[in-house]
Amino acid sequence: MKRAYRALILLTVALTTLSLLSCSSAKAIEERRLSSAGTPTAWLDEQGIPSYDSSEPLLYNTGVSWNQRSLQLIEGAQEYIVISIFLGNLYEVSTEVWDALIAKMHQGVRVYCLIDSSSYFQTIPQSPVVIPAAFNYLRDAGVEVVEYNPFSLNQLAFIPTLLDRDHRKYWIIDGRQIILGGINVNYASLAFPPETGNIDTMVEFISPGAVAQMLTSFVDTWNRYSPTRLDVASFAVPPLKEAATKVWMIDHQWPSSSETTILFDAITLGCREELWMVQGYTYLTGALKERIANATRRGVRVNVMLSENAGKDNYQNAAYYSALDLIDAGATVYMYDDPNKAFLHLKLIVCDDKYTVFGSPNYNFRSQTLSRELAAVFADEAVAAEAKAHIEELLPHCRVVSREEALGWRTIKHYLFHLLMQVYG
Amino acid sequence: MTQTAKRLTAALLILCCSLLLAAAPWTGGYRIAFDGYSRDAVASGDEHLGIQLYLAPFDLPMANPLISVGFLFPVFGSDPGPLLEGTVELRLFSWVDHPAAKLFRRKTAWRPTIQAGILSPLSDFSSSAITVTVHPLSFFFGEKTVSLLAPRLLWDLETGRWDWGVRLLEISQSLF
Repeated sequence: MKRAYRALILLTVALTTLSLLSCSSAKAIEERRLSSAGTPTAWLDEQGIPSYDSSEPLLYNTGVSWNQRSLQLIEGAQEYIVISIFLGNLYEVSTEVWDALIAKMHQGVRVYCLIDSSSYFQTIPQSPVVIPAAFNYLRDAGVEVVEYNPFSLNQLAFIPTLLDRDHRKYWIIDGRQIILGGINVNYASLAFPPETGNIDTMVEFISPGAVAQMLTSFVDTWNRYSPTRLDVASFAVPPLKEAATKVWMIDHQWPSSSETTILFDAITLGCREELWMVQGYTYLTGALKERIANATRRGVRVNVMLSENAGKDNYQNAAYYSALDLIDAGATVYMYDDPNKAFLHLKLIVCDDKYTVFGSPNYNFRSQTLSRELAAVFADEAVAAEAKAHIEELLPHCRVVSREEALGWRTIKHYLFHLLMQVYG
Repeated sequence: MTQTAKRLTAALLILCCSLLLAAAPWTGGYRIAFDGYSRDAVASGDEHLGIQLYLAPFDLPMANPLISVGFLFPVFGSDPGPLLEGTVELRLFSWVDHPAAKLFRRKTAWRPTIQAGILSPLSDFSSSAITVTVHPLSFFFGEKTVSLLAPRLLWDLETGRWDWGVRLLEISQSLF
């Protein structure tokens, strides 16, 4: 019995120590980061985030422009097309993409689609009408398609598994181009409203290193959810002729490679003068709020651009709630209202006119923990200038949110939505 | 060969096997099951809901071994109460283009499995039974395996008698 007590005490001490270590206070990380006073990319290097030679990236800043480019890329593919997206559904505009892929498959190009199971829950914006997911359409056509973490009743036995979602959006064409960002192959992203689709960005670049990393990641994920195996060696990756810049790849999977927080730390704590954070909605974590406050205390001008027209009340109400936190942290909050009522689904960060982040992570708890996320960081003034030019195009349609207006959104309703969206959004 | 040399060889073998195991692509997760048993079997009083953890230390295309441990709970709380179950199983092979493939929405592999284990009431370990189960209708989806209507034989260690049961449904969901 004495031994059992000792074991129990040891176990309690071990667990307490472990939880204390895993908490690893936000303040401590902040102080450590600030004491090193390095650049954002130096911090990424220090944290083991891989970087690769890359071509200058090309940006597609609306759903419509990306849709056109994606059809061109499909048409030009010779060997294989690898697509990993969060949402893939069956609507006129997205069916055009699937049909192009099916046609290419019949020409002998290998096509692999990895799509999150959340695709079953897509509705037409501002309507309860469900848009069918693309899985069966692709399967019936003979395309290799895998559902990421399919929803099933047996998951109720261990509910956290339901929250593991693959929020990444990336395409790889013939091992040459990699394209990543925030645009899905669904109705809302590509064609709502028809003039632009979502205001969102996909960034295309040529980088054998980044491609190899993401092919490995794709194959690992694929093999987890498919009874048939892929071999990464079957995907050829041609070399890069001439490197123009470098890209840092953030491939977040919690808890094994929890990289979104590293990214946010690198940018918010490494920024010296001006920080732009663009995102349709945000459900800030306490730590990120503190990072933003820290940046403003250091004299950094922090600008956060949010958006109207989320299309769903739960998203919009929850996002409104966070505006006051941002303002109180010293940030200037802009609210974008698109002339065509498009939603600003973009996740873009520009820091000191040099560091630019494109990708899928939202500024929320989910993206820092449960969801799989992908982002590319460029330390290149030309890339930052192009991203800033896009922000300048958006600014005329923004208003600055006053503290009084933000205070009006601190209601119980907004708070409850804010709580819900910590895990749902 | 001296005693020390034998010991060293044994230790080395164990170390090598451990390294092989550590290097193998471990998969594991949880398993839920629903069983029914014949009138005289050790768990005869009730239908049983099983909750277990499993681990597959290798990733072999054929004869892939797997171990599991967990509990069977009587649905209506009948005697002898909860049972402890430990099993070792062999997933014989995986056949993707199997005759029943069209029945499923998703791509599946048919993966018949044989399983041997021990079943003991937590209230009385002396009335344990050895189980042998055959899973003829076991289908692998990638992240989970679903088995239906698996007959099982039970050898009651206390009475020395054979009994039978059926594992109506078993779902093994991978977590890593």
